[in-house]
Amino acid sequence: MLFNSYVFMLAFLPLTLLGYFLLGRLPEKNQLNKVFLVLASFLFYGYNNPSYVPIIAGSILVNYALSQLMLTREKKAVRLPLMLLGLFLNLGVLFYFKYHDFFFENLNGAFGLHLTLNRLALPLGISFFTFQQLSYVIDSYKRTVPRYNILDYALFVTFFPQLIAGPIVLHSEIVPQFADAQNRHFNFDNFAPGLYAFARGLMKKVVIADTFAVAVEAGFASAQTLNTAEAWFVAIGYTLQLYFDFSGYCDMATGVGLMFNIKIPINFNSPYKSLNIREFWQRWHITLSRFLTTYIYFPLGGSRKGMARTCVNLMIVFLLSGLWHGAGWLFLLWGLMHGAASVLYRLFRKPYDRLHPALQWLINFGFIVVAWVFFRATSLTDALAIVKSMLMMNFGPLRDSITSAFALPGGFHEGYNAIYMMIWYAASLFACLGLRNTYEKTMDFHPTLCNALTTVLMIVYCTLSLSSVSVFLYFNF
Amino acid sequence: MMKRKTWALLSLALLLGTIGAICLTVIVIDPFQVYHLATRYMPPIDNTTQVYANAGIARSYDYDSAVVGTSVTENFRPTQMDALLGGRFIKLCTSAGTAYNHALLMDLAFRTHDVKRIVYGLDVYSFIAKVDQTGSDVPMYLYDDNLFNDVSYWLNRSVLGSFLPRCLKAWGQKQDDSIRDRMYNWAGRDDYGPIALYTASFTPPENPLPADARTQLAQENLNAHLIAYITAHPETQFDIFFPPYSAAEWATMQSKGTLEAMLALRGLCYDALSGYDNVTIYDFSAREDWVLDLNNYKDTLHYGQWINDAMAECIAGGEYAVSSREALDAATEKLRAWANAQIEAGGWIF
Repeated sequence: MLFNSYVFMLAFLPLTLLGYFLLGRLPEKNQLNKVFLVLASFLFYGYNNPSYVPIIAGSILVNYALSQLMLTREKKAVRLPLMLLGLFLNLGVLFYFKYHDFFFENLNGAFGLHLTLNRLALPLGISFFTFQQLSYVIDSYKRTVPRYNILDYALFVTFFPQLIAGPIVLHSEIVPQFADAQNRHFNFDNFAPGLYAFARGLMKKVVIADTFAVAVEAGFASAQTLNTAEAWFVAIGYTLQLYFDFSGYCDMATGVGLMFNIKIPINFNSPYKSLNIREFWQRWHITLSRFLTTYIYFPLGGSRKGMARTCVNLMIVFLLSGLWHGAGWLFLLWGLMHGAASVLYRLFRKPYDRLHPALQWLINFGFIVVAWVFFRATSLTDALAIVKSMLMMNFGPLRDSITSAFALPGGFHEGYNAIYMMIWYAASLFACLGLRNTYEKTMDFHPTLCNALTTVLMIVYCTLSLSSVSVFLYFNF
Repeated sequence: MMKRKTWALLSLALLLGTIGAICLTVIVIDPFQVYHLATRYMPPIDNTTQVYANAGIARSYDYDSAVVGTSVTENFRPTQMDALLGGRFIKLCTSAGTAYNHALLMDLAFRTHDVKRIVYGLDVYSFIAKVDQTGSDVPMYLYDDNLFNDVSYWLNRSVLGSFLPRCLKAWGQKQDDSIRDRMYNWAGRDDYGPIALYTASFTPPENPLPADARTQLAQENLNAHLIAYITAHPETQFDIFFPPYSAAEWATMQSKGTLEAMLALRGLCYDALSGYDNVTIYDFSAREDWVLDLNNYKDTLHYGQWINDAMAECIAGGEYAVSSREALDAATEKLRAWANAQIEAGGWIF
């Protein structure tokens, strides 16, 4: 189920809130509210494809069992194989669903083999819930976590706001909040900023990201024939689409979490304001960076084993990050680019930091935009064609298929679509660079009549945007 | 400063109030007539949003007989058919519709009305689509009986922004019985005759499928989307006709290499449909005074309204009913000969 759907907004969310807080009125020892929330989360997860539910349920049971075994064993020698088994199972399942075909396709291609591909649909959010549970498994091995009951653990993994697109929360952030007796009761002080954040996230996703998506789709479909201006608009358009889409989704997660009195950690902290690549990764998909830093970069030695080793560690982390984002060579290449940029920054940090901040921003943002082209393109040829167009200084008119994405409703004054497009880009860039982000505003929420009205308008507008009448033009009929 | 509780309650009240008001307005005005017939305004019915309007037409109009088919059935006049065939006709037509489109409408008609007769235009192009393929995306929420998913209609950007204003603009204009004739009717909109034909840009959708794949698809479509209704409703008379494309259309098929496959579908359809007591098959494909006179056509496929009128009269009189497979094959042979003659001559020769 998606947040931006009728069934979520008009049925699932209100009913789940109602059920959860009604059950929360039972005596404190009663855990029915949590049972209800876990079941609701399974419904949320399996709504479009129930066959995924056993996968996540099995994953929860196995990881919980392994963790409990480790937490009750004193000897490290006993815990180690359990932890390795946990790693093997989690990564094995992830590999089976996400990387198997990529791996086999490349083997077939390289060695002329005929290995059978699975052609499986990727279970929703598998990368997120796998990482989330891996953190608990590894912490259980280290015995740095408390023992939770199965219900708390299941709730930590399945809590639906963060289930399918993150943030990748830690057990220590979520379970204690559910354990807090005060949080069992509906609280307007949390609900109000929750609704505020949800509305803004919804607007970012449904209106801004989905509008850019149309132009970006058209642009990447014509990757080989774009002129310089179009190539820049398409590349920056994707940069904006991705941010508004993903951060919008996280804002909605933050908002829904707050409605349940649960504070979900920040995942996007105005990343495009960054002046260097290190700062970017401290602001973009923060919980993923945190996971990779804690569970890969630090165990590899981090930056404590000399510059050369630090650079190698950085490259490893970014290559894995690329692979985490998707099973494909372009994702790996994207990871490689970010790894290389991080290494370069590490090596030339002092002279770079002495540059004027505006220049730093320009270099950093320019790199990020170019790297996203490789992330989005369906082939290396297309990606290279776009980057080449960006640099060729071959200017020309903007094609209709790109500008029409920004047309006014009803096609009003279509001749000005290119100007509307400029306004969209300018306003969106300003929102990224000049305004406080939704998370900051939500945590510093001040109720006013104005933001009540904008909240309502945003939700109503987005709800109406979920459905439209498609016009069928059949030649002259 | 406002309290958070006040803010939340105010926002929720405004939100529910606005959403509720929009839903109520759409349900009451009902631009697509899925809940009730429009009595106070002229409903927005046009070819570009046909699959939406059709749901309401099938549900809410008063009828006991229907014309079903593609654009070649859209110029039928139900009032004329009432007089000729008896009953009360409605058009359930879909421009460039597939057999599945037609089945969805028949399904809705049978669920909501006591249907005595269906006049079905068997456009062979409708039967070579995939069995679950429709001409354009069909809003299934308007066709099923699930009230919950109607929310896609109640909270719909286009309904609120475009269709409701159109209803309000047409407020006070009441629809009379002639709406049944006028809906989807494109007669008089275009030029007819050889000049129009040769400048026409219309070409049927390319379908690179090999002949056996066409046969397979046609059989599946016939079973799922036509025969299923014929057998489920033995009390309903199905008058199924092969429409009179111009002879130039068959030549076009020959030039694309699809003629034999398309001609074979005629036999396949006949064999599949002719064994039912409640089915009569008509074949107007080889009626020379129609298909060899380009003045009847606006492009190679689409004929003028006078042909629809004449077909209705033929059906009423039982003329051009196909008596046997041999009779159909004889007509098919004529189509083949006309097509080949044009190809040999390099143009229209009749």
